[in-house]
Amino acid sequence: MPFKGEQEVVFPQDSYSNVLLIYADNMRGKTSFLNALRWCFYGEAIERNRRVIEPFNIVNWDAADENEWEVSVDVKFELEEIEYELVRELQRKPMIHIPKRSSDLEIKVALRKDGKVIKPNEITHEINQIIPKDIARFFLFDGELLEEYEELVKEEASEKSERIKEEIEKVLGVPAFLNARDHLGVLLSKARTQQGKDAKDIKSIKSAVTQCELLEKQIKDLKRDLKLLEGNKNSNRKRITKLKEIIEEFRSVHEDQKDYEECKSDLSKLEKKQDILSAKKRDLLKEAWKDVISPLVEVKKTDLEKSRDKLIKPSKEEYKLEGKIEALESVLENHKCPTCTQDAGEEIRIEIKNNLEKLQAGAQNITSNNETLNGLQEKIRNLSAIKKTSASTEIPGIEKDLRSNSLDINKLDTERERLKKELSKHDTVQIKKDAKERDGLLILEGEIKTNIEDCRRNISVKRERYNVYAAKIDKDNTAKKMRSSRLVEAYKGLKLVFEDSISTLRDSLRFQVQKHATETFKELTTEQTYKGLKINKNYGLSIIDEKDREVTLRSSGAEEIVALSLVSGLNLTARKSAPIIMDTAMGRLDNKHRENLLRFIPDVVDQAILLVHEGEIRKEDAYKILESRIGGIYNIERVSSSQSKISKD
Amino acid sequence: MKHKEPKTIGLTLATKPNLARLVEDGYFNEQLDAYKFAVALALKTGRLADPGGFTTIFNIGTIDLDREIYESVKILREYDEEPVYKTVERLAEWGVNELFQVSESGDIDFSKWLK
Amino acid sequence: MSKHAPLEILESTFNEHDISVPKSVVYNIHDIEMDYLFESNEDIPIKQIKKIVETAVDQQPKEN
Repeated sequence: MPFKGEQEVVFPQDSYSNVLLIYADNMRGKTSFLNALRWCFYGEAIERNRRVIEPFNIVNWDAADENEWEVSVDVKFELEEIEYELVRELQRKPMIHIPKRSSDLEIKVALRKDGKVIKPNEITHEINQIIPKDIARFFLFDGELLEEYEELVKEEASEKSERIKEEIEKVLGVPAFLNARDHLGVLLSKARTQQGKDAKDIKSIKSAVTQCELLEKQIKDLKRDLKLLEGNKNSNRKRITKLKEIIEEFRSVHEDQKDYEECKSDLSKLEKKQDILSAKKRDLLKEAWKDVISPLVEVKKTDLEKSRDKLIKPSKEEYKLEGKIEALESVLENHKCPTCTQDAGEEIRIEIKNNLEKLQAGAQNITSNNETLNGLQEKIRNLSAIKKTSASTEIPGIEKDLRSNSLDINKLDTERERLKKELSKHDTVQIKKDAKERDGLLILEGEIKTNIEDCRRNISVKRERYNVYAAKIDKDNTAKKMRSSRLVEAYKGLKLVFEDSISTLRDSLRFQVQKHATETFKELTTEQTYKGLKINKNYGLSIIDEKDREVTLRSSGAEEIVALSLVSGLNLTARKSAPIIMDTAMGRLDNKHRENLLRFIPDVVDQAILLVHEGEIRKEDAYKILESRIGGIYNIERVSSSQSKISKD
Repeated sequence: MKHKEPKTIGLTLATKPNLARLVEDGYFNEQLDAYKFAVALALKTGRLADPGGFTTIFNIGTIDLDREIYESVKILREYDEEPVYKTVERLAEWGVNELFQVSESGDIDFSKWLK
Repeated sequence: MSKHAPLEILESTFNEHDISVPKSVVYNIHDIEMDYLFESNEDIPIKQIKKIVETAVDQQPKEN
């Protein structure tokens, strides 16, 4: 479902401005909005083919990714001046860390009526009094489900059309007659028993009374057998359902087992990865001490190099000096200039000797600087040998991976523990036994059905014979005076009244539905030559043209108009009235039909909530057509591909 | 100043078990790896323990065959009032205790010292 | 359709037969059934119907 976080919608409170428009593009959440209301009232959200959406799939995906599993729908409404508040909540079960299926979630429902809390076991009853689930579909109207109404057009009964027909008849109150007939039948039977007891001493009907008693007992025994058989059928069916659930749960046990093995494997892989990374890190740390002091080394090296460079210049001077000293020493030794080869006199030799002494003193200075220089060179060489390793580049990345893996390991470990615990609850041998038992019970179910049919047939035969003898008793003048006979007479008559009324009621209601549906149809259709609609025994509606011919080929737009007419006809004929909520109901209609529908709806229902998109009806057009009948407009807007939010226009 | 260098180095009796723990807890392959890292850490931080009280753990030939530690500490230390390896011991003493304390309060994040 | 249409049908059928109890009994039974239309508790309508019919029968003049 697309909604995450709190969303609020206020329905129109005014009886004139009673239309609420909720705009949303396709796949933004219109059907989900409808489903939210359906789920709140009846605990069911449905998708196409009326399949129930699993509670697990109700939770918004983004919320589920954040491990937030709480879903809540809170509806406040008023009916016959009583204020109601209905809240339905879905949340994860205690002890479940990450839900994986619907059975990991639980649902709670609460109802307040004029502030008073209704007991949990009475909530369904209360809701049925407000708007029973069986007829809710005619008020929570999903345009995508209109296709189902097409079934009703067919004259031949199908299982689907029978089911829809039963639902429609419930809306119209037909079952009330059927139930009255059945209840009066039960009371008649009891009154007959009493009559038999009271008439025991009347000679003229003694034999009839005895026969009635005998047959009564036989019918009673057969009914008891029937009740037992039906009880067996029900408990058999319950056991089959339970076994199916268990077997289905076993399927989920299989999944759990698979998940458990996968979890173990992933955990093992991650732990191996951790070991490899840790070992690599330890190997890198062997020489990493060099990386630690590397900045200090660089600074020191730079200082040393500066000092060294200062000393290199004098070295060059030394080289020149050595040349000069050699030349002067040669003159003193050979008494001759090595360049011009002339004799060097005494005076010249003394001058040369003085210069030589000076030069030699200078050379001495330079030599001691060389020692310092050599010392510096050696230090620089030693520091250069302390080379940085790859530890400083590799270890940060390794540590990041180790931390990330550690988190994943924790999650997997928790999940593995949970799965282990779940699996320990199941006995796979037992599951196989259960499957065998289920198959056996299914065969037994067939046998029970046959026995039930035989039993009913026997009851019917004996009932007929009983009625013959009972009629004899009824005619007896003495017996007629008994209270029990008067009760029998009363129940017989009342039962007959309801029995005979049933088909009349059905015909009358169908006529009324046809009448109202036709009125609606004429408001909605743009084809003015159509005469109206004709209803068949399944409540299917056909369009009748001006020549009283049935219009056989209908477009999907026409189907929609007819289906809407049926809903309107049912609402106007039905005992219950309620707001109508229509989801994308105008998708297949052209502009004119849409306009007709919008003009018509506010007068037909107390409140109308229309879930639409701009392609069906633009806001400015809606304003023009509905004007002051609009009680509010909301938008369902995209937050992301998996999230929408509702905001007031 | 020239000093006579010792032939062995180590830690105080109190700190020796901490060095062993750093290996047991899986941070280093060997004690000498942890020892060298501790020395470097102390150098980087500019801290060292008080002199004295050290017991032998390693032969110099085992832990510093190439004399890389010796040369590094010799050049990088601010003074030379004692033998280089004595300084190494004091640096290691501080460094091992520092590493141990960090490990006690959670996992050691080496990358912050390798920047 | 007015909510009374089913009652009109019941009335019309009632008039076609000679029923020993008053017409109001039929209306009361119908109302009881409508109230419990969407419930599964069948005992309650029966008990209420029994009470109404017995009361009506007991109020009938006795034949000699």
